[in-house]
Amino acid sequence: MVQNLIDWALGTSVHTWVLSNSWAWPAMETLHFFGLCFMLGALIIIDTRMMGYFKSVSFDAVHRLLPWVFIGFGVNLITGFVFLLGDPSLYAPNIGFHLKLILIVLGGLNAALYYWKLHGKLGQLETNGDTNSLAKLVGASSLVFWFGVLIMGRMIPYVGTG
Amino acid sequence: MLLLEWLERSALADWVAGSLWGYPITLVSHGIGFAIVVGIIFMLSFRLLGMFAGIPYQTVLSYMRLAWAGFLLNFISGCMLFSAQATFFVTSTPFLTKIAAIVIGAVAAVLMQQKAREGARDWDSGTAVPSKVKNMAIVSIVCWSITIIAGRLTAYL
Repeated sequence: MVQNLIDWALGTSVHTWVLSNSWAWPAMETLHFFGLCFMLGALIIIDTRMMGYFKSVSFDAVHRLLPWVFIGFGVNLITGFVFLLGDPSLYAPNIGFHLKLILIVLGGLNAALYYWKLHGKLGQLETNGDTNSLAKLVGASSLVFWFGVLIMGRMIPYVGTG
Repeated sequence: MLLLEWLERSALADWVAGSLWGYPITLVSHGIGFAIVVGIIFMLSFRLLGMFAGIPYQTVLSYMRLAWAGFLLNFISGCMLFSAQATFFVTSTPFLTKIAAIVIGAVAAVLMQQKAREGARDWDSGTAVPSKVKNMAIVSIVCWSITIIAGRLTAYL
């Protein structure tokens, strides 16, 4: 399966584009870094409030930062695909990349849990209001998963193919 | 240069560059601190420029303590990464650009934070953010963006 993915990626126009423009890789990396600091910057604020810190802030206020999380995620999903297609034999078999993907899925499921179980309740939370234990857990998990994504991404060049 | 060569031969540099986990651990720490400090400073800067209206200025200001914790982490991990390749870094234009941008960006962030401490309450109740403060926010966004771009280029040029 990994080999099929690599073969397919090598034939894509994105792969050719990355190879034929020396600036493409650093430019995509730079965008990936912008995306990550927007996403994590907004998530730090939202998740720490869910964990019960910075209670002087109303949850409704921090929740307005959510679009920045999605913008950052979108930028990083696109640039991430460019990396995968650009150098598939580095990423596809890499254990750090696999763990990163697993953490992204877990982060997504955690966000879904937030929407099903917490979104409505937290919206009514006033300034200085405390959050319930599920909200604290979901907030902490979100930070663990998404910082884990960052850590695993950084580790890709240093870990092998497992 | 003698001092830098001594630094490169120090036990610290040896751990960062020579041990199995030294470099990845330091680099990962630098990535974590980066997301915290630049992420939060971006949020404050964009808020001061009027984006995501509805979030109280006092809200974003509360998070600046965390931003400085991230800054400290990056200062320490940055010094460690520097020690491993000190003689290369001091001759690297992207690296020197990055350091200059960090210094200016950090000063802008301190000034923004100071002004926001004095004015956030008034701004939340309707007073316009002074254009001087907005200019600081622009300087901050530009400098921290240069930091990201130049930091990436350090690995290429």
